[in-house]
Amino acid sequence: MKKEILAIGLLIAICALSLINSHCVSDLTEELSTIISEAGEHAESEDWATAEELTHSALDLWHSRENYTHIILRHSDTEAMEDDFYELLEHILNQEHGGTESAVMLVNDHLDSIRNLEKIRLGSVF
Amino acid sequence: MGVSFVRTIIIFLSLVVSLRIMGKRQLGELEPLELVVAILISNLASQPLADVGTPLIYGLVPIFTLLACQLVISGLTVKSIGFRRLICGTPSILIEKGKLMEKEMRKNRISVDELMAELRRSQVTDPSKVRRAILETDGSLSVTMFAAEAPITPAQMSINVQDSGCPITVICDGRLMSNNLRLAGRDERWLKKELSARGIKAITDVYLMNVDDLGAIYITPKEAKR
Repeated sequence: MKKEILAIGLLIAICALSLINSHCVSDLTEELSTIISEAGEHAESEDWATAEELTHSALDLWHSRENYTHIILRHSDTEAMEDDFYELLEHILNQEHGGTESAVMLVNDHLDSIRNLEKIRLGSVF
Repeated sequence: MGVSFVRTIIIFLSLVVSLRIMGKRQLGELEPLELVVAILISNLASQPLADVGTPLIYGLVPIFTLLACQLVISGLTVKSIGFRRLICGTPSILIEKGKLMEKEMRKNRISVDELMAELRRSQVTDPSKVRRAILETDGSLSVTMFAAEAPITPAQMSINVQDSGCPITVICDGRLMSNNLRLAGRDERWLKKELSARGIKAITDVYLMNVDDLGAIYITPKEAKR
């Protein structure tokens, strides 16, 4: 009976950790999305310095969670995400309106996709 | 992680149900539950090992989920006969008093050729001599012969046979198995005496040494190194 109780405990623990993880990923990606969207708005109004600062802060936030993202996300996803951030930064530094707008969309799409993958929904399960 | 957890449970339950529907003949030596876990764990473990880009947690979460499911379900099968029948099925009688049970064979999708092959594996060539043949839940066939066809035992012949018990290995590849030596009711002094009586100087010179309950000893010395 002890083994069965431990097994049920393990199932509950995995389930709880999964929900916590889904919540953490959602929080991180939403925070990053907000910063990047804000950077995009500043770039649109030609405030390139603030846009650059915000993108750097988003990149710093992403780097600060590097250990966590490497444990729970596919490594190809984490690398692609970092590439997207640097691409956006490059467009901002070159002060390219069109390029910045599409790079902001690309980063946000990628963040949405990571968030949706970790959400327990019919679509992501099947 | 959450998706991985839910997907594992869905695949696990789907495989158990599929294997139950497929029937006993698909199983071989394992119970349905054991087979599901064996198949899934071996595949799940290999994925993160083969692909470094896949986080290890993608393999660990499903494996621990499966392990927990297996423990819970196997615990329930021990506690509840109804649940055990649901998960593992029930044995099927394929031969009753020498008569082949055609309906049961069709139900389990066992052909006459396959049944005959299984009987031959049990040293039986004539089904009319079989009292009962049962297809067990793990897919193996248990055969019971009519009393007149069963091998005669010493007890039936009123012959007194000394039981030598199961031989115990006390030296294996030059290593002393201390626990086994104690289990055999002997000590190292006895061992050294027996070895020197056979001209063997050290334990490391013995490849295998067994001793049974009656004290009969089997020794194979190690071959001399070339």
